[in-house]
Amino acid sequence: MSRDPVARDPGLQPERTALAWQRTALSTSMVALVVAFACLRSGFLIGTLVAGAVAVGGGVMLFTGRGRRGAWTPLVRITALIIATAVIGGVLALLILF
Amino acid sequence: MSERPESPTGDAEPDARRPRSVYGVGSDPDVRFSLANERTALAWVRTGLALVAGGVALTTLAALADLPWVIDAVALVACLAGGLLAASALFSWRRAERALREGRSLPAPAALPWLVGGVVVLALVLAAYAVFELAGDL
Repeated sequence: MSRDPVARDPGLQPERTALAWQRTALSTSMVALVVAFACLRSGFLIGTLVAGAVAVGGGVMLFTGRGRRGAWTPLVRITALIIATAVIGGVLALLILF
Repeated sequence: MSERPESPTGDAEPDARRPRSVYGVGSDPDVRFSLANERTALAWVRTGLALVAGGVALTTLAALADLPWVIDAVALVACLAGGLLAASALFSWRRAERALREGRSLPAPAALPWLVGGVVVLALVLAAYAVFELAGDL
């Protein structure tokens, strides 16, 4: 841990990556909040609960960020959050369709 | 594996990064390449998220304005495609990172033709629907 190989990268790649993580987590949280309110409007309360939990998870990822153990685990987490949002959105569309 | 000069975790502790199917092969590339690969995966994840957001927005609009069922079907497809795109970002990150570590050339973006094709098909379907509705009104 004495030496960080990208500590003085003039291209600011670690900073750009951290910002990419931040805006991904923030967008996930915001979209999940929108889904939660849409579910609330349609009376789909389970969807509201799940989307609210996704929003909280996105908020947690916004503050924990990527960590130092490689990209895989946080990538899996954010993908799981987005897939949960997508499923809730699909169920909502089906509910309104029928 | 012991003589890796660029190991970011130092040479004493064992490499505990997961998944082993990626970090168990090859050697660490330039850190900037890995970071760029990570940002590419995040950009794909956000593309999928944008599809989900668009689908939910269409669903809400369809419920508010009592739009025809085609709009709702489009919204459903957009939501599911967004989830699929996010999952594909995960797998393409893994393929690209393995290729970087083994010094092979990068694989072609697998999701890009599907995304472009989907957008084109969507545009054609909506245009055909609009023409159909207009012809019905006349």
